[in-house]
Amino acid sequence: MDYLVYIPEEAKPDEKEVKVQISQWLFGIGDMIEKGAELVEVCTDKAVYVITAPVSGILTKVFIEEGQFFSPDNPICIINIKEN
Amino acid sequence: MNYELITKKMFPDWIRFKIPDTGEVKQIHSLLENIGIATVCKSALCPNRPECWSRKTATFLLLGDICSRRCSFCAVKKGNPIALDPMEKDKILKAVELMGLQYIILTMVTRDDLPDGGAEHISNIVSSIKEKFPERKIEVLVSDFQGDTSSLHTILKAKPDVFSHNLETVERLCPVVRDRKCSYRLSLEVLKKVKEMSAEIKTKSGIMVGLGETQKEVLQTLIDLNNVGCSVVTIGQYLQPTSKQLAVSEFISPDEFRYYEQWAKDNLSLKVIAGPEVRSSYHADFWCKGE
Repeated sequence: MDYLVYIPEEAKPDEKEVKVQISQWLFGIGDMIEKGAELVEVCTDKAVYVITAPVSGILTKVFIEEGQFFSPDNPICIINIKEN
Repeated sequence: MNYELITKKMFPDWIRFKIPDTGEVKQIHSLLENIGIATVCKSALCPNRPECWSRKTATFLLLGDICSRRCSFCAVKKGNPIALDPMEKDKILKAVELMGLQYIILTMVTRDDLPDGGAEHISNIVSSIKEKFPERKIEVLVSDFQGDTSSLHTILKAKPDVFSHNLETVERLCPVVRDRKCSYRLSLEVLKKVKEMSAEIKTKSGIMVGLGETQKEVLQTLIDLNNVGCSVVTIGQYLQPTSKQLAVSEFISPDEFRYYEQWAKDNLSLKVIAGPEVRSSYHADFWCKGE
């Protein structure tokens, strides 16, 4: 089952003008990821924030490339949840 | 498309904060949204939120979200402040109860438009919390009230456990970093006055570093705060909230923060809590208990 990954709601900046950029994916397409693992680094003007994986599974698609600015309301990647 | 990695390159390794996708933080976030209450924790995207909230500590922003001063480091909206929310007290009481907070920090936007700077409003909220939850600790992190003794007295009559007022920076940089109505000497005077008015209250202050200050200036600031009876001082790295605020001049190394802590321990009676991630309210409950 595909799981759309977003920036956690509580991690979104309040200010609309804050630019958010993907600075580094810590996994590649096809990699197996465990829930809670460091998934991606995002940057604002303020700092680098590390977003952790919300589920375990395989990273199948990345919507935002490294270096790209994005709206925190958009999904950033798909993790295919492993079936037991 | 050829995107450039603009931001990552700017930060050293230690300005990297993990945001865990935990149920607890999510739950608290929606609770606060439902009550309709603002925390600085959220609006500043504070990296310490999960830790503070799990320790039952939170910082509430009172008197609206528009500040009457224009400090160049701060991302809080500036302009004509709005009318006071008569329901603010009830919202705070509800949040304290539902979050099970044990240490409550009440901060504020500066309200030079109000005759008492908002002191009575804050005082009422402190009194209400004390009345309903007498065992909980309350810290007020407030403006200088333009040095007005009557406003300070109004705050103190509610008997908060800690009175906190931030110097924000060293004396030389104050005119650049803070609004022109603020002054380093006035802030020291406020802290001194509070201690004279209430010997039992603990006073506290905080500064940001990385704005172009020298180490010598930071040490002098600690001495100045020690001289007015401050019990604790926080020192944290200044981080530019958006491109509209002052740029960071320098990222201070974790070793230098440790040096400030140790230097204060060796030379002064106040306690310094310093580190890149340290904010005004970081571990506030810890030192208040004397840990």
